[in-house]
Amino acid sequence: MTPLIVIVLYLAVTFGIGTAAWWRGRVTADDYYISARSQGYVVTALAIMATFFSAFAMLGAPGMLYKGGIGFVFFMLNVPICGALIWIIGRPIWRLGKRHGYITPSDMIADYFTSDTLRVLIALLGIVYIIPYAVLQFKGGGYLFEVITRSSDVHAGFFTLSGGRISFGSVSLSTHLFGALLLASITMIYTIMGGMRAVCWTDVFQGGLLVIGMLVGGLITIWKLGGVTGLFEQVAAVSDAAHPAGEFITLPGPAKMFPVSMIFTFVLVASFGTMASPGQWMRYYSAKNPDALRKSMIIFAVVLTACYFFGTAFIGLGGKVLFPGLAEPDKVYLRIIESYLPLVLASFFVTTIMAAAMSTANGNLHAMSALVTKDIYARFFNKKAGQKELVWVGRTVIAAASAVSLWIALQPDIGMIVQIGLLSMAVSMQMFPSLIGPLYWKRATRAGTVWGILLGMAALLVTFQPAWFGVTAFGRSPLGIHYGFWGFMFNVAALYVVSLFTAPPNEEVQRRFHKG
Amino acid sequence: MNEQQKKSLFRKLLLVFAISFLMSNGPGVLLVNRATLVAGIPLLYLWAFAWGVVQIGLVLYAYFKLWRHEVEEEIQGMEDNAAGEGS
Repeated sequence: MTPLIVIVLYLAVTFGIGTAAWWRGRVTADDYYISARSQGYVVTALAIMATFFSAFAMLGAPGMLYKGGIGFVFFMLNVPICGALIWIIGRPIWRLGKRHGYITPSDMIADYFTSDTLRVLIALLGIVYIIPYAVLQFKGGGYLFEVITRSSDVHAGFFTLSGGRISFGSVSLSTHLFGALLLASITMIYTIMGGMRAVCWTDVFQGGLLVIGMLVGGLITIWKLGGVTGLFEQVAAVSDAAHPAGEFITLPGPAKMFPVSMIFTFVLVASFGTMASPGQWMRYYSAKNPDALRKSMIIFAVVLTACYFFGTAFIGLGGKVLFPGLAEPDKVYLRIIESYLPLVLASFFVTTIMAAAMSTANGNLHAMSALVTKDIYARFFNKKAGQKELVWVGRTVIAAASAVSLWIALQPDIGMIVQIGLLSMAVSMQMFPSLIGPLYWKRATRAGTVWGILLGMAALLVTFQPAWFGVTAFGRSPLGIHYGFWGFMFNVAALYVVSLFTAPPNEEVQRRFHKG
Repeated sequence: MNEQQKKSLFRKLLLVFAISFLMSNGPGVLLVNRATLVAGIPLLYLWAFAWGVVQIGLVLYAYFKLWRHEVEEEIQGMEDNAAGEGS
């Protein structure tokens, strides 16, 4: 019964915060999508952090350290870059958004290049990024609920929770399905009700939880292994027939998972891709002033780097010593909290992983509603739509996107969606060069930006899965360069070359965007 | 600090950040790619952590030396605009 009570409490608090945000909000598109540009630095910082940290950070990242050794520590250095990007791109995005009233990423790009083609392309890239992300978070929620309630045996009136099934009278569901349904429903309802304000306020609560979850997970691990040096000395000694001692603390690590070319290019893809994603972009718009972004940058860079180095790294590497034979390395964090904490605390720490999943799903679903409503519906179907209509269309999109994501998450085989999920960040990175024109280089043209995105996506797909295109000369990520970075290089090259031969936006447009 | 000095400082910080990234995640990491423990901690972990501290230090330096003034100027400008619209 204990896990159920803890989870219900966590969901009730989250829902309560979402409801309070709805109570505070107004039914205008500006308020619903970007909180009327009113978020202070604490809300902005924690919202950016919580959206950045998905369930992958709590499950997948320790799993990567468990499998591939210390090389994954270098991936954590994407955090200082992301921190700097909050200011370097976030501030000009915020300024232009405030000056011209932008709500979505496409608003800005389409306005600068006077192009509906780019509006649709950017919106589509955003949607391709968002759906797999939401699916994976809901899938993770179902899995967590299943794990934490598997030893429960509760019979209370018409309610039963036992043997991996939860029953209300004659209605019986697997705990996996029920967990995914519960997490998706709560996320969907408060996001529909309160829009960006609900997303950001719940992110503050969830962001705080996931920071606690990661740091305490690290502390438990070093406590069990006799301190930091005890942990690392035992990791250095890990060996078996296939892996000599010391392999876990050198590059490229077991199974050669982390060559230098990969840690170099993947960190750039992860940082630029994540910080240019639609959800984060809209958080820049929603900041109250540039000071909120400046302070967020520092909180983000310092707190998350600490979480990764003193939480995730210890959990993943220490887990290899504590539980050497895990068939599913992604479960290492769960194994640690289940094994060393009393049930009530273990249940609490499971909710920190749920917080990571929900805070990523809510921000992305909300961003998707803005993309579909503003960039497609209001542009091509009803140009005269009023404020209330735009909000209600957005709410309908969130409901539909949640239902579709949940349906996909519940399919028995989601191998393909996992593959697409791997592509998400790389796809989002292809949005980044579209910022070059509005923010940095007056010579960038509409044709250059369109061709950049198209060629970048083509290069990305070919280097991601060459077999889909009948290519046998190389495998995924040729030369050890991440497929997202291949796409980025083709994207920027095409943007540059095509821009040299085509006309840039006129002077009036350039004056509106560029200083001096 | 005038605009020219700000631009110059920003470029210098960007260059140092790029060098630190080459050292942490690029060829620089090969200099210390050994299964050695220093005070019980793997050399690679210390290397990554140290460069992480350098990178955060650069961000903090820019925060205090460069961007704080820009924010103050921008907020002042916003307040002036608001006052102008109100009068």
